[in-house]
Amino acid sequence: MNARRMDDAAIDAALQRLPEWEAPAGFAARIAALQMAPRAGRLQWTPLLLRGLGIAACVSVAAWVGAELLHAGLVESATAPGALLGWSWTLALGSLLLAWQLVRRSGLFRV
Amino acid sequence: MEAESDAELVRRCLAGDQAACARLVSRHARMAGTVIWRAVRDRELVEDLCQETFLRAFRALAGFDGRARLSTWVCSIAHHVALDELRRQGRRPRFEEERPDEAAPHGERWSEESSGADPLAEAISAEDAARVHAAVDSLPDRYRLPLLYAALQELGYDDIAMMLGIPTGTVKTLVFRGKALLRERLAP
Repeated sequence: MNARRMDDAAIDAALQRLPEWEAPAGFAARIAALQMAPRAGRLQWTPLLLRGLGIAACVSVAAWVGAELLHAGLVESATAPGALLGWSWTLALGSLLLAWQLVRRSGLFRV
Repeated sequence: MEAESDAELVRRCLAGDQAACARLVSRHARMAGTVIWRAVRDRELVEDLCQETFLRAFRALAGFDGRARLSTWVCSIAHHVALDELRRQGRRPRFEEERPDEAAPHGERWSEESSGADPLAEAISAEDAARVHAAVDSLPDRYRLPLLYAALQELGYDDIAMMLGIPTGTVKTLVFRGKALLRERLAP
């Protein structure tokens, strides 16, 4: 047939033989999972809110204790019980550390 | 068990049923992928573009009004995803400027004569088929795409018209002229 002119039927037949695409295994499941991913993201509002509240609480405690310590340092005499002061510092630093960890793990500042 | 209708599948997808989404994809992936493959001609790109097609389809699913068949609607999105890729490659196929040609047959699909289990389709040699495929690849996109889409059994002229956003008569004209060009290029 190469040496002569191809007729319409032969061209049509050749076009019918063009291969068709076959989706790879797991393609449909992968697309469906991708499609659902944003929905899952929307459902994560509650834990995000709880984390935010936790961070706010920790920062508030740290700020409050810090303010109290500053007040104690400025106003009270040097004879104030050191043990109580130590515990207050521990609580303030602990709250700041916890707040920092919550911020790091919450993804709040992730772009 | 009766196959789930497209309308039911769409309703369940919109309700967030992941299994229904997977069924919708598996039902239409072959056609969407084939449309993309024929348009961009690069098999390596098909999977990614097909994924993009279905993600776009899911985003727009709430707007699917059922006037067209779901398969046509998905193929239309696949065609537009492929066009975006062609534009990215610097090709800008346009279909709408063609004037209807009186010489173009406005009757049945040209490919119906040789569809299905036509012995001719079996008889044509692999060498001749390869020659035709190479000649089709050399056609301008405005003729190549309608011609290749029309060779798909599942797509009628009306479906292709919807995909390309042009009248059905223009599709027939483009296919007719594409085929005439193809005959010229295959002439010895």
